[in-house]
Amino acid sequence: MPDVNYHRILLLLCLVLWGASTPAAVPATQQAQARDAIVAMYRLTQSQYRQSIADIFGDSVRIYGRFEPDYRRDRLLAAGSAWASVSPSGFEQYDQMGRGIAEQVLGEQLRGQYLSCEPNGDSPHHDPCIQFFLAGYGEKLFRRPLTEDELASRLDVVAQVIAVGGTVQEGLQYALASLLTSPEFLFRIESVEPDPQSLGQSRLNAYSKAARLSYFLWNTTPDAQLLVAAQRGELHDPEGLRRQVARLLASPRLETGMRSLFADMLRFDTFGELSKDVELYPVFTSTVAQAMQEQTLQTLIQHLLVENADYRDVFTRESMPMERQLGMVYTVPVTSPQGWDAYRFSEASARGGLLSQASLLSLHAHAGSSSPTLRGLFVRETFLCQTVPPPPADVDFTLEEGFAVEATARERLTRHRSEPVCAGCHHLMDPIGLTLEQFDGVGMYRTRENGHVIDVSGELDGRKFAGAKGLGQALSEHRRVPECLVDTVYRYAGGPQDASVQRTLLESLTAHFAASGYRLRDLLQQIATSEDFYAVSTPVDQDA
Amino acid sequence: MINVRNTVALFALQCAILGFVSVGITPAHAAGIADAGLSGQTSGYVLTEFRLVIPGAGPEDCPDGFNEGYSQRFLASLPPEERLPYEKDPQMLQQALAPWYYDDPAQDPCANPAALPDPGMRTIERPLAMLRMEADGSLSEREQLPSQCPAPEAFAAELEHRTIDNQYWRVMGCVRGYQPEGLAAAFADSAILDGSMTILLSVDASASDAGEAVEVGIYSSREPVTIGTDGKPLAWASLPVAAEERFHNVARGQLHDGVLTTDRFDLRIIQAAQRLDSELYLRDARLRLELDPATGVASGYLAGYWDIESLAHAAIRIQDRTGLSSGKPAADAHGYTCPGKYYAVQRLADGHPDPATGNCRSISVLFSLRGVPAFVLDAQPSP
Repeated sequence: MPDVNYHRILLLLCLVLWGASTPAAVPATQQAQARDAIVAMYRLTQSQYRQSIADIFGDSVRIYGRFEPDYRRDRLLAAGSAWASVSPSGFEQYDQMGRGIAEQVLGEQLRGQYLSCEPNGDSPHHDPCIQFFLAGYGEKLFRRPLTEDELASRLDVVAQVIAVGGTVQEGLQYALASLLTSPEFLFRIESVEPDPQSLGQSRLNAYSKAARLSYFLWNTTPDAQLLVAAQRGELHDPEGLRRQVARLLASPRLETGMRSLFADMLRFDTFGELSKDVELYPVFTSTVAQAMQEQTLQTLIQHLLVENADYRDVFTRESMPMERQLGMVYTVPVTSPQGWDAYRFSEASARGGLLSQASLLSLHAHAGSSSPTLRGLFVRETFLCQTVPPPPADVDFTLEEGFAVEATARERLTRHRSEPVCAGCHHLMDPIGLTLEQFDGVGMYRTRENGHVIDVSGELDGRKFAGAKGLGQALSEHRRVPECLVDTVYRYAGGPQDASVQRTLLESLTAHFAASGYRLRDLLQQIATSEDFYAVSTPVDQDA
Repeated sequence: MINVRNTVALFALQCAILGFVSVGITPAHAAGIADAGLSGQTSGYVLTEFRLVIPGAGPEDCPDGFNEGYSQRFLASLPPEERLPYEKDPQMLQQALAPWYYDDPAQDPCANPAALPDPGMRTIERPLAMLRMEADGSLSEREQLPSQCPAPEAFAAELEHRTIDNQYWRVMGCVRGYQPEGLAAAFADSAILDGSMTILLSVDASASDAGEAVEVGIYSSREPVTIGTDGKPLAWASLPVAAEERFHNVARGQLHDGVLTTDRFDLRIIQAAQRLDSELYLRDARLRLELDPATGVASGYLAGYWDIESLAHAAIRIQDRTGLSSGKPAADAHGYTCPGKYYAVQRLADGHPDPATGNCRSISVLFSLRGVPAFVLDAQPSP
């Protein structure tokens, strides 16, 4: 963009954007969806933002900027997104990213892909090409058609950029950037409308339903078919909703969505801040760290989507995808020079099941050692949906130094649990994590620690067993494990937060999940087609 | 050839052989142990070190000092007053001695060392006590004079019982770059670390329990080692052997108390580094490896007779794929001349005398090596 006009255009844009985004600017004669009451706002997670941009503009558009950290609540980033806001510095980043995307989309190199007509700079408000561009991408970005005012304000941006000497392409860039930095894009805004079936009650409007469904199953913005279905009101019809859910579930894009679910559930976002001692764990390179995550995601996709297998069996599954770099962590041969092979561990192997995968073992360990406590905590929280309180504020950490003389983690933690202040919580975590002690801080197999044979006996809620395989078996037979997955998927999907609705729905979903043989696809379908899933408790003021 | 040469619980194998009860203490730097589900009798290794044994010259080994490279010879040829500008400005010195790389190999003193007269090379001529490999695979260090080129019949008759000397050290012992603190040591493993040269070993001890020979494979791989966050090659890599069968070397040996020694075998492996694209050809070589069950590391020595033509290609001409030589800059960096080295090697060669001329066609040499566990795979087709 020409430097000479930059500051003038920027000032103008700020004014226009302020007007476009402020509720006071909405006229009384606004379209129906703008009149609907907002009941929830979910800030797009980093992965949702990226996926949405990729789906709207294609993979060739790069995103330059730093995302505000996502916020985890109720074990999930997706759930935390309802509580996340945008700080001033975060908005600056969104602004930078929006401008960067707009510059690429309307830059000379790529413009032809997105702008198939020739815009006329004389009169943007009457130029069908400009209107088509902004209305089309506006609908994709806002996940609903733009209101007249929303479109008009962007046309104003184009006109005023041209008026101060910019080109029509520059005007479109600013207008597109304003869409990208708008709350309507950065947040998934759920609105309700009066429910024609129940006087005085409200329901999610169709576009909010479409977005909830799309981000739940695909982790991205609704596609054109889903928006059309919303526009036609099909999503309010149980049969129409079932059709769309079936379509979404049958799509290969379901894998993208479920990868996001699993990554969120397993806290893979924290891999970015995971560091390991370079001398102790030289195998933990950035490539290996990536491959570890990929292996676990592939395992879950294969087991739960491709094979549509019983969820509980993932804890005892003997085969897992393997590639050359990971072969060095698992100390097994990998014959395929590139890509992934299925590797089946033998009965004699200490490995088996999801919990023996290096991603989880690395993530829940210290930089220089394993951590039975962190691993036990992870199992409790993630697969049993239990909350273990944090250490008390007055905990005496100097006790740790005294325990350090013990040769094995078991001995150290046994002493730890002899302290009453520690015992309460550690007995919930340590007996689980100690069964994984044959895997070091990056998940490599070992049989000794400081020269002592590692004892991998442990217990879970009264059931005694040994080793990772024993733990996997115990989890696969634990009543809470399928219940917890239902709870996790439900929270991830963004279902109603009302406690009574939630309890009833979760009970029903859990029963269905069991009846289906614990198949994830059935659970997804059950949630996505459930009326209760879209229920809202906020009544609409009919006179508003 | 089996599909995966390391289908073994390395430690289980070694412990069984060595009488250890179980896996030893995993030291801080260890790279884990084999998955407990692996079974079999073949252990694989990838070399992390492969170095010429260059013990360093003692105070009396080079009475006339170290050899001089092209730059030093040039400076020495100038009157003292003319040297100063070159000594102050290395670039000027480089220009004065250009070209370093010749478009016409015929002009290159390193591409054609035999075409030039012998400028002389200082070598270690006095008795030396240095490591040598005995016929039984043991190492000795008694003081000895330089080996002499034997008569063809005598060499053939003695070969089975002959101590393999390290005459190559006598050739290079008075070279500055081959001293322990020199360039050769500094870059000793660089070819492995930069992925130019990957050497694999497999040890099939399936017959060992019955007191029969152990089969040892030594292979080149076209795939680079993987470097860990500590800057060293990682253990447990899956590496295929090179497709070319000439780089598949098999020896038979014995394993006693964790020490593997082999019978004589000929060895060809890829020898590459920077611009060098050659091969190492050792004749009548012997390998001695100590297998440490506690760490999984194999370390030891490889002794043999370096074929002179192979040596000239890799260590004098230093030829690349195009046939061009980078011998001159290498010789200058270390401190010798190509013809000088060429004639010194001929003079000190102590193996495989030519029945027609009586001249020896190989020179004894000793390498040290270290390997970490790896999975040695069959050759794989090019992608």
